[in-house]
Parts: sequence; C-alpha cells; structure tokens
Amino acid sequence: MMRYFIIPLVVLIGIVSTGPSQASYRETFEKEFMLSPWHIAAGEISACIQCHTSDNMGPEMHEITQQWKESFHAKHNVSCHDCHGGAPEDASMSMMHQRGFKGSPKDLDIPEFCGTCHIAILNSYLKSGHGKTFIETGEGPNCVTCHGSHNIQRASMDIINEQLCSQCHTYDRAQEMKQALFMVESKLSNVEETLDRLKLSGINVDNQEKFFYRNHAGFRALSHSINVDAVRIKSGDYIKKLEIIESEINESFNQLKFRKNFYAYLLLLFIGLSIVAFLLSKSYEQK
Amino acid sequence: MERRQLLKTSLAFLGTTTLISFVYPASKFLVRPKSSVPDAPLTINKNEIPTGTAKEIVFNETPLVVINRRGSGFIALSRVCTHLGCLVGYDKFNNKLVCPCHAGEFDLEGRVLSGPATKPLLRYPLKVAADQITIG
Amino acid sequence: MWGKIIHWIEVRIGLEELVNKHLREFHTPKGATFWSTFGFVVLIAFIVQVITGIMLLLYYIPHPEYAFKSVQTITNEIPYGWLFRSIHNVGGNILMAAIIIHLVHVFLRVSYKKPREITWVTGVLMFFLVQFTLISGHLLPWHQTGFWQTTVTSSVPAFIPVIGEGISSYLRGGEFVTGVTLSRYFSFHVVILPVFIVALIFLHVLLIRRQGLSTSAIVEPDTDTAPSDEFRREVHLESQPCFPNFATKRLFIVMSYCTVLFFIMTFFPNLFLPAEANIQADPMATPELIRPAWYFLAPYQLLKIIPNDILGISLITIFCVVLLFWPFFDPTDTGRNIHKRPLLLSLALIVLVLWAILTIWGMYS
Repeated sequence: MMRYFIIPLVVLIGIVSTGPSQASYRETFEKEFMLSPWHIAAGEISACIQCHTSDNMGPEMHEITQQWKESFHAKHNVSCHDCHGGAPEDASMSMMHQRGFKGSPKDLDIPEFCGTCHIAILNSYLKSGHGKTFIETGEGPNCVTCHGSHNIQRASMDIINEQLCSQCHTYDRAQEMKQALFMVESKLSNVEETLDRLKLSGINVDNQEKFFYRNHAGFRALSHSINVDAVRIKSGDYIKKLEIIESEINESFNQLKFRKNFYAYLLLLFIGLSIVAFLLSKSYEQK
Repeated sequence: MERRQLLKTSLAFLGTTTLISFVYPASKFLVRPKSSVPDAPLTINKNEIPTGTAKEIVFNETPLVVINRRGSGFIALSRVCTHLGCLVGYDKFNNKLVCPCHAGEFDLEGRVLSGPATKPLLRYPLKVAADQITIG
Repeated sequence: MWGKIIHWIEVRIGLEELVNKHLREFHTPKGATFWSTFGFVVLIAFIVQVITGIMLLLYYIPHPEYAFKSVQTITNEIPYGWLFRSIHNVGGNILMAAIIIHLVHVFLRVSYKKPREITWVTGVLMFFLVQFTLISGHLLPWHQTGFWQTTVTSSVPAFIPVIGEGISSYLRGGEFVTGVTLSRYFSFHVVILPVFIVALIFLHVLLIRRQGLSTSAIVEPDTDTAPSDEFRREVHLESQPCFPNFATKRLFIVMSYCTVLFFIMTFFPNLFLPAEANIQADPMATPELIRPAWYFLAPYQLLKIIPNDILGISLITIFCVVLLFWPFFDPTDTGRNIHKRPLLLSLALIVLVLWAILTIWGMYS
C-alpha cells in the first residue's frame, strides 16, 4: 500500500532535483533561440531623426531628413549614424566624438567619407581623372556632385548627362563614356529584370543573384575610373559572365515550362475522369 | 449496359494512368538525387602560402581564399560575401577579410566583425598533409 | 485471379457482408443531389492535404534559420517537390472553399435540426479548427507573407479584454513572432489540430452513417414531419443504394474538385503565393501591404471598420458561438423546407452577402 505513495514521491523528487541542471539549458536556449537576429528588436526612431525633425530645427534640417527618407539608403536601413557616426539610441551621445561622430564632411573629405563603405568605388575614383583633379585642385566632381548628399538614389546611366558633365568640359567625352558603358548596362538591367521575374515564380536564384551583384558592382567601380579604353576592354569579359547567368536563367525557364506542362497534363486527365464519372453517374440515375 | 461497361473501362484506364502519374513523381520525390558531381579535391603545396599570407583559388566554381593564419593553421573560406555576393579580399595587415562593396569585415574564422553582412563566410573542409593542402 | 484475392479476404473478414451492408444497402434519399456530395469532397480534400503534408514533412526543417531554405529546396531541388508543394498550397485554400460550400448547403437544407444537432456542431468545430490549421500552416515556410500575416493575426485576440494579451502571448510564445512561434505553430499544424480534426471527422461520419443522409424537404415534402422522439433511421420510398449510384456522384464531384485544383495550378500557379512569399522573413523589414489570407479577411475587415475594439471582437465571438450552436437557436417546431421560411433564407443570404462584401473590401482596402 505504501509503495503507491513512495514511488511517485521518489519520481517527483527526481524531477525536481534536475531543476538546477535545467537552468543552464534554459540559458543556452534563450541565447541561441530567442535572442538570435530573427528576434524582432523593438523599433525605435533614432535620436538623430527625433531632433532633426523637431520644431527646434529650421526647415533645412527637416528637408535633409525628408530627402534621406526618400533615398535608397533609407530603404536599406542605412541611417544617419552609419555615415556620420554618433550614437543613434542615446541623444546625449548622438553627436559625441567618443561615439565616432564625424559631423558633415568638408568638401575635400567627401570622397573618403563615402568611401568608408564604398571602398572599391573610392579606389577607382581616386585613380581617375576626376579624382586626381579634385584632390589636387579642389575643383571637379566629387560623390555629391553626381549623386547628391542625402537623397541618394540608385545610380543609373542618366547621371551622365549634358547638364551635369559639361560644367567643366565638353560633353562629347562624357558621351563617349556613356556609349562605352551602354552594352553592358543594358545587359545588366535585362538580366536583373529576368532574375526578379524568376524569383517571383518561386525559383531559387540566390547564387545567380550574388554572381550578378558582384559583376554589377565590379562594373560600377570600373565606370568610376572614367577610362573609356579600360571600359571597352573589360566589357567583353562582363558580357561573357552575364551570358553564363543567362544560360542558367534559360534552364530555369525551361524547368518552369515543364512544370506547367505537367500540371496541364494532369488537368486533362482529371477533366477526362470528371466527364466519365459524370456520364457513369447519369447512367445509374433512376428515372 | 454496353455503354456503362465502356464508361467503367475508361474510368479504370484513366484512373490507373492518373494514379501512376502521381506514384511516379512520389517515388522520385522520396529518393533525393545526389547533387551535381563536385570538383575533384584540389591540392596546393604548403610552401605556396607562407605564414600570414593567403591564396585565392576557385573550387566548385566558387572563389575561395586559403589563409595560412599565424598560430591557427590553414583555413579555406568562401570569398562570397554573405551580404550581396561581392568577393572579399584578405587584409594581411589587419588580419581580416574585407568586402570592397560595403566595407563588410570578417575575421579569419569567417565570422562577421562589422558591416551589413549577418551570416559568416562559408567554410570549406581542408586536409593538411606533410607538405600539401587538400580542399574538398 | 482477382476472384481468388477477394475470396481470401472474404473468408477472413466477411467482406461481402460488409460491402452489402455499408455500401449497397446504405441508401441515400431521392433528394441526394450532387450538392450533397460536398461533405465527401471535403473529406477527400483533407486527406490530400494530409498526404502531401506528410511528403513535405520529410524534407521540411522547422527552424527559422532553415525553414525557408528547406521549402526552397523542396520546390527546386527535390524531384517533383514543386508538384507536392503546389498541391498542398493550393489545396489548402480550396479545401476552405469546399468547406464553406458544404456549410452553406447544409444550412440551406436545414439539415441541422433534430436529430442532427451534434453533426452540425462537430462540423462547425471542424470549420474553425481547419481555419486555425491553415493559419498556422502559413507561417511554416517562414517567408515575409507568412511572418507578417502571423504577426497580424496573432494580435487579433489581444482585442479581447483582460485575457486577450495572454492568449496572443500564448499563441506566439512571447511578445513577438520568433522561432518559438514557429515551433509552436509547427506542432499545432502537424499534430495538435489534425488529431482533433480527425476525431471530429470520425464522430461526424459515424453520426451520418447511423442516421442516414438527410432528406431534402423540397424534393420529398412528405418527409418534412416533426422529428420523432426515438432513434429511427428514416425509410425513404424512392431511395437509391449508396454504391454505385451516390458513389458515382461523389466520384464526379471529387474529380471536378481535382480539376479545379489543377486548373488553378496550371493557369494561376502563384495565385496563393504573392511576391513576398519568395523572400525570407525579415523581422526588420515590414512589407508595405500586410493582409491576412482571404478566408480571414472578413473578420479582419470587420475589426478594422468597427471603431470600438471590444465591440468588434465581441461581435465576431458572438457570431461564432451562434453559428456553432445554431441548431439550438433555431425554433424546433418549424419545418425543414427553407422556401417556407423566408426569414431564415433572408438571414442566410444577408450573412453570405455581408461576408462576401467584407472579404472583397478587405482585399482592396
């Protein structure tokens, strides 16, 4: 009789005594499972934006934040502190040197400022006619001249236009460059559009996207060298690489076609079965 | 009655065809095919990579970097940055791998140090023999 | 050869008697039209979901790091994985449509009256459980659509006063949708809900087989008498054997269901896979438009337009409770011919039209 009492008690004590060892498991679980990147961080508006959109600031400040909000940077979570430094979560440290605050760069410092992230582009620019002129004389285009400072959009061929480029020299040199870039640029946009379409159809295009991106980025860096000959020579290489992606894309489209055909084949089978079943059921109907 | 028999036969025929059209894909589904044949293992001589330096190679159509780390031995990492796919470069002065596109930085284990990437670099298996390194 | 196999089975389980009793002698009333087969269609659709679900289960990984990738692997690398994933995806949605058609048909036939109240209650319970199964299943691929839809739908119970936040927290396993939510929804979708649904199916079908299919009071007005006070299988004068008469009707409608399924898959393969369904869930990036799935749009839209949250959620709760226990709300002394009950018919039509309007409104708002 007593054993019905003792056994559950022993089991209970056994479970409870494993409690302390479970605590460490809980810690590991919390750390690896609940606090990983895919746990939502409570969203906060950065201290920078809070101040620079408040009524204490003049309209130029409001305009800056408005321009940034419409930019490519804003869409990809590149915020004030990513370029200007400072602490975005703490207003008292938001403009402190200790937290890496850089302030607005002086004109001559602009290339290095943008080049903190865009390393390859900076290297290409510094070797170019534009870069050398700017560093030596302080005149000539820097990043902001063509791309703007806060309302930065995705770069396109339209940046090379008569209005912008003929400020310092004749447009024909810029036009030559634009023509040299044209072939690869149009292929790049074709491939990109097709990759997007494939992605929407459920095909896994991760590898192709990465391959495409690094070629795209490489070509962008090359175009900053303002060296028409170099662009012409390398264009062939880039086109070949893009053609590799294109052949993989074609394979994927063929796979999609196969799927659609298979579905259609099964659809026809079922239509046939429905008709036969209908006629059969009608034949059993009592008059 | 003949009509009914004809209908029954067509039902049986179509039904069997449909059944096979599902059983065949299902059976292929259950057996995962071997992924495409990988490259034969690549061998490099140890003396091609002195300590503190790295060598860029291509394996399985992927650009890799083989680093001879001071104190930690050899490691083979994919050069494809986990952010958007640009190829990282070895910075021997600062002992890290840097991506030229958005300044993403990785340590010599492939872990993210700073920048927009969130996942570590892919690591490839590496065997070190007497004076040769084999990847894959 | 075939005869030998049949005989072998017959000696062991008395196959012939079973077939005769349950298939041939089980009669369906004269008014059992093609519409009456929809219950069977729902059963078949559910079984299709279970089978394709099990196949997907072989390769799916329920961890946030790997879930999306595993579904992409199934769709692109596993041979014919795309076929089974597509069937499961589209099939789930049209299963819902079939359930709604079945529900409306039973309602308009007034088949829920005594002695079939429990059949109705189990049916509506299954309707709710299948909705939850669909909602939980939508999170599993861990894409942007599913992730953010889950964030929205798991916040709906929070409108309930006092216990609402607790319910939402319990659903999600925390304050936000995380890997814990994924594990939880995975267990709901694969085990917990199907077990209850299967039990209810068993009860539902058992009752139908015991009581027989209901007559149509329009086709056989003589049967529209007051229900008796003791268990009685109705005797229909002009009934047909279930097999093969009613069975072939069932076969036809099931084949039509499959036709619809494959029609959607051939011509609109991405109907239930919007653009964001191809992007891995990103807790930091909210897509511009987050909407629950179509079957949840009506209650969601209702909550949006009613300014008072508590009123909104109470209305929905009351509606669900009334729907669940409707046989007990309907007066017992009225007949089963809906044409003789214009109020009930109008009520049904109004509810249907309102549901349709709210759904379409929800789609475009």
